[in-house]
Amino acid sequence: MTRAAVTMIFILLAGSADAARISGVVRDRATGEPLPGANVQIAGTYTGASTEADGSFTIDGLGGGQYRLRVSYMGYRTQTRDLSLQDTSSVRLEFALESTILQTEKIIVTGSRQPEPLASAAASVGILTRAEIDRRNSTRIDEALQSVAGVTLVGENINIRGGAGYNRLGGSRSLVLIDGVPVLTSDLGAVNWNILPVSEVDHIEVLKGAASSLYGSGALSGVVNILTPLPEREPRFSFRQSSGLYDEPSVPEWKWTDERQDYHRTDLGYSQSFGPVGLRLAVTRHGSAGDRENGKFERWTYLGKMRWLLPANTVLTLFTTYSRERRGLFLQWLEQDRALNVPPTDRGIEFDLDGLLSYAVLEKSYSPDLSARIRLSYNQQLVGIPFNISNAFTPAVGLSGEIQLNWNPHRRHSISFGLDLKRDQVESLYYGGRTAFGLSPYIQEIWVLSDLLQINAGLRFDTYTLVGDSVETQLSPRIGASFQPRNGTILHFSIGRGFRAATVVERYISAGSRDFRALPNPTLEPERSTLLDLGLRQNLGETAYFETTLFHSRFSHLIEPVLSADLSAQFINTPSAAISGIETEVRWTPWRGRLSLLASATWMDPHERDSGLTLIYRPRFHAYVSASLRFGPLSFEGDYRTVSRLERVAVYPLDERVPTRVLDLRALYRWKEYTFGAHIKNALNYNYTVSERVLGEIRNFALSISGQF
Amino acid sequence: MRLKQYKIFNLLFLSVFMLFAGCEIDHGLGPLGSRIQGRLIFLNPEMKPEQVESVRVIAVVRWDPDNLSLSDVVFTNRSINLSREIPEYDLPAPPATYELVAAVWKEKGRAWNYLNILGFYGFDPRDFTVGETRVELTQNQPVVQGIDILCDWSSIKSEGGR
Repeated sequence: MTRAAVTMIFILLAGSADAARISGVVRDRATGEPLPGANVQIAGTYTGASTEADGSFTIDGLGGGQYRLRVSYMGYRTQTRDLSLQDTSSVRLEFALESTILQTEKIIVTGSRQPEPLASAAASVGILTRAEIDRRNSTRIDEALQSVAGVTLVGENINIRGGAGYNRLGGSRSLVLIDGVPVLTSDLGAVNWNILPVSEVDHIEVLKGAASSLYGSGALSGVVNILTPLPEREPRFSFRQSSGLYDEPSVPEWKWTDERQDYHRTDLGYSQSFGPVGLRLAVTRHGSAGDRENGKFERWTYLGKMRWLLPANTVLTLFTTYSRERRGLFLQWLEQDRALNVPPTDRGIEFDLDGLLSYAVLEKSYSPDLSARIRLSYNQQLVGIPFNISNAFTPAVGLSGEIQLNWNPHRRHSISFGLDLKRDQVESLYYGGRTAFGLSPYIQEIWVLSDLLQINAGLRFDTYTLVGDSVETQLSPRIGASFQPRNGTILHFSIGRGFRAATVVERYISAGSRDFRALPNPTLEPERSTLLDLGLRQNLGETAYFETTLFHSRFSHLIEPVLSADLSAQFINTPSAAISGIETEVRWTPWRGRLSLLASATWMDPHERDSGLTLIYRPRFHAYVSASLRFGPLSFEGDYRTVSRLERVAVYPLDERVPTRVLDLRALYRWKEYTFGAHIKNALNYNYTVSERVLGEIRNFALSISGQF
Repeated sequence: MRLKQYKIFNLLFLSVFMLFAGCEIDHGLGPLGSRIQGRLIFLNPEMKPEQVESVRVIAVVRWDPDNLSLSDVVFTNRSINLSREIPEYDLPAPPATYELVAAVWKEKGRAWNYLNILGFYGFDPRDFTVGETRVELTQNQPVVQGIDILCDWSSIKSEGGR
């Protein structure tokens, strides 16, 4: 009965679509192979489709008129085609895309809150594709982000060009979005990186630089926008299984168990469209015995996405992801001579982490020059403060909404303006019940002055009202430009302001643990930043790409914890700081694509402006090198990541510190729709700390198989 | 795989193998190697206050009781076994000159406070004399033994539990 009712609903919905249709197929020009997952979009609108496993696509529900169709796919040149449709006509098209390593061919959405080619973007943007995540067998999104130029991790804090440092219990200085929806928790202002399985990532855009004129509080040093894939038209089942074993520690004294420690990860996904309604469903289980005492965890993630093509160029997207995790507590090692053991008092302690994110987005295109977007989202997170006191908290709830209009008053002038709203509700024994409201109008403009020069500008006014306490206001301007003096050469520049309001935890926490006590500081002011960057993107023929960027950032009122001898910690506003540096990225694919090389390096001078001391938890140098050698279906790949020794840390400055040096190796074999992989992570079994007194993962070996049909 | 590709693959594999075989691999962090060792000798055991939960040993590079910076303190998360009459301790510490090596105590239900000193090396609470308190760890002498600390439980009681 239920099945019959669901079928009837889908038939009714299918019948509501208009008759005009564009269909076709997208292939690789060189091989003729179909390209599944290519993005086919009507330019200037939200209407579009994603190609199926056989490269086919269909866009229904169109009225008559002139359209410009844009077909893009990561790693291929974007193609556009103009066409004319009658009210009930049907057009079939074929696209043969040419592969390219040129980053500038990619389309981004994070740099100006609307789709734009990376070539003309004024801001510095790094892109991480699904294929790169899959190849590396990344199990977490933050782990995968370390391959992006200028990005490092300290603990779970993402560090874009040194802008973040490390701050346990402190808020993230980079804003994290899923499909443009903010997902920082309402209490800690932190990121739950596990709320979205890596298998459900289409690509990730990392906007480097102050972006509060676009996204408001939190975008102090950058934005990470995780884009999820569109539903498929034809039924498609995908899976990925990865199982691994941890090696013995390289230091015999660190051996903490005689048992073999293993881990397993299973990702299952299904996608299909029923007429105008496309669905994606996914479930992931990730469990590990852990490479250290209390390192055990089990995590489940469930995801559903529905995209409904309504009449009159309207699209409704509903999205929900839920993750639940139970894990052991490893705050810090027992001592350096027992670095994989926890203090006896922490032995056996486990806690739960919960996350739920839902959003509904309605997009309507009135004409190629005018479209609107309305979003409502619900973000409920219980990122347990790691004192085994999760039951003393209620989940932090964030409600947010957005209305945005995109208007092209002239073919060389585009305006996006709108209003962001949010409401945070948190309650805990340790910081009481708190409610806050945010209201933020904004405007972004792009002027294409000529075929060579484009200017971007934006302005946003944020008000953040903490009920019964304070009202924070911030005006965040930004201006940038890109200049293309000749084909393949792009100069870009941007300057903007960022800010981050103190989180509820930073202001009000009053808690004690066995080792540290946290004291409140309700008078905290927002952190502020001004960031400037100037870069060059250069295509070197068809096989090489080069980008280098000079950047300078100034920070004031940075919120940092200060520890005293009675082991109490309090967040305070610290003196101003500055970070100057240069970042370089090179991609080269010689030997007819058999060899693929990527190298990036970032040098920085992060210092306090008054004392001249190096900023805590900021490396001066980090680099990433990735090489892939392909022999038909077989490929051998390696990634090497190095981060210079942290010159200053806050809690244990007398502890020994070493640079990070991690080598990952793998072999992949592709057969039909399947990929088999053998992976060695941390092949040198190198020991380093990811945060104070917490070791990075020791060497482990994994086998993986993935496929789709 | 064609013969040419097979040869290239073998060459690359051999090159990588030689690279690894010929290099001494740096494993980064290892055991600290340097440490301070000794015993805690408790005086007046019958006067041990009920509110004492545990005791740790700390080493302090710059000792300033009015302005003690945690960044000058070396400590581990391992507490002393108080069930033993004369427990031994083993404090891993990087090579440095430590102005103070002390036993500190933690009150039940409260956080650690490293100013709650129960006794320190070089101090005899029986006659209130202070001898050499400094302990030096160097690369040549990474382990220093015999750093015994006299701890008088009555000193806590006489200060009203603090």
